[in-house]
Amino acid sequence: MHGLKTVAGFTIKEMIKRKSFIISNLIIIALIVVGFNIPNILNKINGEEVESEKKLLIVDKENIFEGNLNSLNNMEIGYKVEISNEDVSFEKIKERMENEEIDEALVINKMAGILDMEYIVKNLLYMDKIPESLVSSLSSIYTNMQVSKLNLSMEEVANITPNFDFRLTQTEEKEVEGNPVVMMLLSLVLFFAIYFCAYQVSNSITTEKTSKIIETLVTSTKPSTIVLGKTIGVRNCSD
Amino acid sequence: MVLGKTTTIRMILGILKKDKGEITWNDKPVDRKNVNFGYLPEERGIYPKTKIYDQLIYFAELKGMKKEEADKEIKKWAKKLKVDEYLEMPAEKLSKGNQQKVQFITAILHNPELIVLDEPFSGLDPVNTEILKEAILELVKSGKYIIMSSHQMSSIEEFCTEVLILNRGVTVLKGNLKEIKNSYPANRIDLSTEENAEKYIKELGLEIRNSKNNEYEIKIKSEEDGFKLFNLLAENKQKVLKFEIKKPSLNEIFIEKVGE
Repeated sequence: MHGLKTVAGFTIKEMIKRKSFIISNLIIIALIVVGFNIPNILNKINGEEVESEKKLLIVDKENIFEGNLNSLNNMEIGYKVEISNEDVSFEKIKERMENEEIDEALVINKMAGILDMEYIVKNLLYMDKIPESLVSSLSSIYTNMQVSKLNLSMEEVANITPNFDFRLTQTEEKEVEGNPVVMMLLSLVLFFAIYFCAYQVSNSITTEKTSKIIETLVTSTKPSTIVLGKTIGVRNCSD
Repeated sequence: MVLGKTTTIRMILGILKKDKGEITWNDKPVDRKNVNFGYLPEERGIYPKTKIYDQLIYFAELKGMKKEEADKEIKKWAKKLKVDEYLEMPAEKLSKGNQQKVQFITAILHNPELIVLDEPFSGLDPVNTEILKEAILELVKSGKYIIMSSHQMSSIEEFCTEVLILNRGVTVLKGNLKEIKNSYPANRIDLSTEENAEKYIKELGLEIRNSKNNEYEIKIKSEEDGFKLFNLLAENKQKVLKFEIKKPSLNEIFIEKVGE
């Protein structure tokens, strides 16, 4: 036990002095930090947690929504909404986009009883579908608006309003929690940490064998104590 | 020259596994449990980038010493071997001679009863050789048992009482050094005269091995040849400065035995 402690202690002292050890540990720490922040990074790429909201111009020249569109600014749809009840031309919308006054625009018209929604963006390359949050919010506003005209009671309104509660369950027994990408990356980091630990131990022993220090060591203590002590020392350094 | 010295030492200390036979010390197998031994390997083996003091403490603790006790012994031996000023330096900055002295300290720091030194004077300059010799003699006087391997016969003659000469792993000679030397007849005379004495030497039919400035190394077959030469020089009133009849040196015995 004393020999084990001595070898481990000496190994730790030697390891923390080495530049290669310091650099490799810094890299592993950086990888771990990045790994844990991958969900945030992915969310930012997907646009779900956008720090600055996009500016959306809604042109409702026929006032189909009867002034209820302002409530969109109270909903978390990721847009700062500007409402215009005037007829705004496509060129005017384009000019405002180029001047960065607005990011996107929605022009609402009613044709033969159907609500026509023209969603205007700078380039379809960056957007292949209209945001779900905007669609569902507009649907909700329109439905509420029509329902309120029917003078229904609260209970009747509650009955016709869809109130779905979605739950996600799985058939497999094991519960896997967490982001799979993060798990995979952390596994990779763990693999490299273990590999590095084993490499350091074997490198240390090889160096001692080459420089003949091993002859003095094996006459002082058991070879198993040397290997185990170094493994403990390197592992503690990795912590 | 492959004699088998280092291999034998490694087997004694358990570094190499022997094919057959037993190695014992006081009827006990030679291992860490039974024997408190110290070992100075043939090749220098110290951590190049670690401070001397730190590695001496490490090796001492591995052998079961406490740090305070090790500190005292390190300072004592470092001063004795004149390496105390290097204790805080990494080993790679020391000369080979100083590294050898440091490694010697690791071998004797824990006060072993049996000390194994494999070529301790190899690569040392005369000054460091002398320092190490004094340290070894001190250990011998204090009752330590030393096994030393060397092919420098002069060192062996200086320290050893018992010798074992190996050739390719086979024992060619062993025993008490004095008895071995006494078993050989005198085979040379070291002569120094004031004037040239060559003619007297040749008159007796003796062979001169070396000569320089009236100093002669003469080969003889027996001590009687020596007495005859001395008498001849005296009869001819030659002033003799030195006359020594000598037995073969261990080096000569070694060459004779290994050459067989």
